[in-house]
Amino acid sequence: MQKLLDTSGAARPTGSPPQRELFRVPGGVFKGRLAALYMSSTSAIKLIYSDYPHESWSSPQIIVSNSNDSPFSAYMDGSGNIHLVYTDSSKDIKYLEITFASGAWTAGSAVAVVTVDDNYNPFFLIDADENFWCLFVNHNTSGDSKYYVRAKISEDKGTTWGTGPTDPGTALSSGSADIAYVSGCRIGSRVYVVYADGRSSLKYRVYDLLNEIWDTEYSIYSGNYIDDDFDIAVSGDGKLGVTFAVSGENKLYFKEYDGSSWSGVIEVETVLSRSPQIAYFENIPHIFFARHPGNNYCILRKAIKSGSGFTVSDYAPSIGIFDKVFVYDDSASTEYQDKTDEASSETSGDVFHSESSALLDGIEDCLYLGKQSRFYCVAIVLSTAGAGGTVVWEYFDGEDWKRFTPDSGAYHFDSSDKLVYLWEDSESIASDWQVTKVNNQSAYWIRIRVTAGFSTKPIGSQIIAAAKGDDLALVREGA
Amino acid sequence: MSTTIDYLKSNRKWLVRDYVVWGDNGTFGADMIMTESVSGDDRIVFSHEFTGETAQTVFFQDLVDHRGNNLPENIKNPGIVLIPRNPGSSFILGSIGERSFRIARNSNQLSNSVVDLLIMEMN
Repeated sequence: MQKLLDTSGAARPTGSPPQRELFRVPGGVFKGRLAALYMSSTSAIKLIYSDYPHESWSSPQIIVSNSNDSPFSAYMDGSGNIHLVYTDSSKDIKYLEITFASGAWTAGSAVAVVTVDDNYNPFFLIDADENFWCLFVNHNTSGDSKYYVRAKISEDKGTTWGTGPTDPGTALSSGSADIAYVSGCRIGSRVYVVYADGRSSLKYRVYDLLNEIWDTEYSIYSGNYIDDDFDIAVSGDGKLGVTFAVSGENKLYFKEYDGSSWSGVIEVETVLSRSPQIAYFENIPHIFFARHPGNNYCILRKAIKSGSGFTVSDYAPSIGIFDKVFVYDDSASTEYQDKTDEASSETSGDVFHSESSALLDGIEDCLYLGKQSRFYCVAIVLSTAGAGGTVVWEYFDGEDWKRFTPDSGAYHFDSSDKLVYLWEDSESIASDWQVTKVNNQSAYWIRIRVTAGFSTKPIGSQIIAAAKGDDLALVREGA
Repeated sequence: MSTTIDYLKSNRKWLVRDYVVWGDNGTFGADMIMTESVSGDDRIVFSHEFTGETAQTVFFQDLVDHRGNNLPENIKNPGIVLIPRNPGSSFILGSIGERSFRIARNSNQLSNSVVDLLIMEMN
């Protein structure tokens, strides 16, 4: 199920992959309730919540109205309270507790964590001694202009951080000209801080709560380029799992630390992938990510550890390549041609009927898009945009083809890159859309039929059921 | 409001016989939010999927009652009673939606469960 919650003009409405924005209440009367935080504009952070099956959500409530337009992070404790850290309009890091009571959340007053220089990409966690931690990236504008990963601790539930807001905290990295990204977790009496530094390495440091000392800096991986496309999780048996995308290698990796040694690097995906999220379920790592098949569109995928590798499949049945794509030329000797493989790839100009040399041409020519599940969006990339023609969009309602206007508006194959929302989301798909057979293939079919011939014939490059998704934020259990 | 129609539509019940429960409760609710870039303001989208091949989501519209009639797509405020038809144990997972619900058998049992579903529109 994919449901549209809101729209936003913020740079990154759902944050950055190492951060946390979606939570599940762990117990009590409201167990299972989801709470989502997101940037609804360039300055506002809002909260909404929903109960299973999440078909309806609460009205958004404003939590912060003076945020900088940059990613924030939060944490849900075992009572359902949410702890939010964000960069405000002065580029200071602020902490805010959002108290959960009687099924609703109420925001408290913001407390300054750090006001030195400019600060970004905060991350919050609570350690085994119930100290609050804020990890963040400090841009040393008053000094060497480098970006440092820093940590500050509050021993009084967020009232005071370190020795106060002008205390810059502990520097964990040695500084880089490029912005860093940071995440963290606790395992027993240790706090692990994992960060991407200098766009070329993923590193970590460990704080021992018993001895109150930081371990030295270690490298997890080095490569071009490692930015914020990484995430970490802790298994039930105390292992640290790390997944990270290296865009210079077009690969997604996984490594695991058992407390004494690291596993080897395991390839999860071997094409460009972004925004990985990891969680352990029954001590098995599950990784969710956005695979990029080309043209900036993405297909959500899930990878589940199996043996020494991962089994990878589509995350949602409504998103992915089409199971069948037919081009139909009404005047051709062979009317239907199967272009399923060609439509799935980004190869330029290979989706056309061989007799018309066009994706669509004269009246009654059709493009059929079929999937075993209902779908709500279609990404269409053309090598040649059409001109002069018109089409109608139709689905099969069990008796006949039913014409409809896509939710994103009419599209007549007259622009070369178009994301067509057939319906607003998967919850809005026409309820009478039925499976039928086209060219002896059963599927949920969308038929795009020419009603006025094209003067310039469109030629296709890539046609998939996908959107331009990014910044996945996987649900985290309150703890 | 039509009292007659309201009366006829309220408190409807359906009995679905011999429903096979194969899903188990060993599934992971992989919920997430994400950003979809479009021209203009970006879309914030919630995704709800279960991982694993064992999740069993039942849609009302896919069920047929003991008289041979399809159930409606939407049932307002539904309640469900499971009537065991074999020794296996089954249960509803989470809340019941107006279009669907999740059902599971005990993860420790090897065979599927068979139940009758008594579905009621509570209104």
